[in-house]
Amino acid sequence: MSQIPFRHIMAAHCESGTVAALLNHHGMSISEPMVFGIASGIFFAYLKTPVMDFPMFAVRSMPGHLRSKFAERTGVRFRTRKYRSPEKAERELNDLLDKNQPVAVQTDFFYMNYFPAWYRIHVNVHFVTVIGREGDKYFVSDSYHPQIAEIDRESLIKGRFAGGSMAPKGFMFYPEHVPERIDFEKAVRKGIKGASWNMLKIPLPFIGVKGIRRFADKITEWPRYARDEDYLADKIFRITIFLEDQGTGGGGFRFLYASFLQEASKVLNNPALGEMAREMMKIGDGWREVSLASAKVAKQRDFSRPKLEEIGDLLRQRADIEESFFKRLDKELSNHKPTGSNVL
Amino acid sequence: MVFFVTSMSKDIELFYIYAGNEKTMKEKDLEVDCPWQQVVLYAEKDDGTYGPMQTGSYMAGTNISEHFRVTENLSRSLTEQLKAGTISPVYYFMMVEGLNADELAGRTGISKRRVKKHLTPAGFSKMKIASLKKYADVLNIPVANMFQIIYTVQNRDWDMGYQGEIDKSKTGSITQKKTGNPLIIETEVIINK
Repeated sequence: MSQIPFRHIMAAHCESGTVAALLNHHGMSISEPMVFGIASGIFFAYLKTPVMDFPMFAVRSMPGHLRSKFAERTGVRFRTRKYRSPEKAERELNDLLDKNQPVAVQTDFFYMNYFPAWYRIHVNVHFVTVIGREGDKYFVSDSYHPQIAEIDRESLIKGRFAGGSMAPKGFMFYPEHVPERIDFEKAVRKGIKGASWNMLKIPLPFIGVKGIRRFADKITEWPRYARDEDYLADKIFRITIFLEDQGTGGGGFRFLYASFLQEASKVLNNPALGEMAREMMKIGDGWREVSLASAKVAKQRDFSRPKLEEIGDLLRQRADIEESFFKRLDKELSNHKPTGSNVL
Repeated sequence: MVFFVTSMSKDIELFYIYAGNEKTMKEKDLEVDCPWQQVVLYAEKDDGTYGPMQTGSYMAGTNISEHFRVTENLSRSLTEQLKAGTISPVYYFMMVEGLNADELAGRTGISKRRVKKHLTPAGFSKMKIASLKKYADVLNIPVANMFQIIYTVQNRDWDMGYQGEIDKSKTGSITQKKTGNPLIIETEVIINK
């Protein structure tokens, strides 16, 4: 066989992009922001555990949650599988491809060798859609690649069975059932409520706006964890990369979320959400200021406490603004009267 | 508001421009010429809607040279330590691949305690070949590369920001091929003339 006809489009993020592309393939017209928003993808976490060499932060929900939360809220059913045996995983993938079923697989990004070597890092939570095979190569729709890519069999297997943190274990999924009628109004409301919960109410001091504040307080400690100046500069520069360049759509997913709120405003027939979408765009601009400050510190290699505190102050502003925003968003949803008119 | 500039300046000061007005991120502000890394960003379109646009990565377009400088510094420093016998080859390749002891333990299935031993020259010298093979597989190198330092001259013509001198007369490549024996590879050196 060769390629299954599949509409490849680039997306901001690999998981939301993969889910959206697969659903569109199955006849459901849905955008990446709607997948992200309905699944309450917007998030913040600041993490430093004893086994971690260096602190890290996340601006989106746990890998896998986008698919599972979206499914829970829309009634879409995904067939999911994990494997111990690479041979069995390969056989079942091939069988599905032979039946013209595009399949999303979880991989270590490092092995996606259609990207240049300098760009590839070990991250076990990259999602791509396999859309065909020919001899010893597979055709892949990767949200971060401009065209359909080709990958050799050995690299795909290595990527699917890389060990370590969040090991893929051959994980794959595809839509098994897409309901004829979906209550998008209800799904959007649950998505927004979930986002407010994530950002405001999870009772852990390193999650949501509390996590942003923890990041602000702790960034002055970063030099303590660095083995040398190059390493510290790289880690601080990664703040900018994680917020702007690494699959977020810019501004740490805030622009993507603004796009969702604009669509949500139409689905719920609620103009207030349109205004809040505009506000979220400005919040994204604020995150870009964090990116700028971090890039400057990294580039100029001035790791003095006042410089790091400047980044901390910008983060505290983000926390205050997002706390106010998500409280008002939550209230807006609580006051919203369902119309039931957006069952599609 | 803050937006990316569209030129390929290497100066981080030009990375963003503050306009300080009430605009939000516009599509035209995000156009970056970086064909080797494309990204999707969300921005305001002319009709006032927000949506995706495909553009070049500003970070890759402007900071790639810094990335290579840091990588080369690390590689040079690790090579010196390896030659001096103060680190083990497993440590060298772990660092080059951007992994740590925890991650290496998870990926090889070797206990973290043992991995930490193998990261030292003394621990490496006592390692079993079976363990060495596991490390080599995870670190994506032939076992033989644990025992040799291969110097290559990289062609960096594609890197717009690269400032270093390259002696192109020495440009060549090394090809390593698998054989039927999992511990043996064929290495071929090709010098461009």
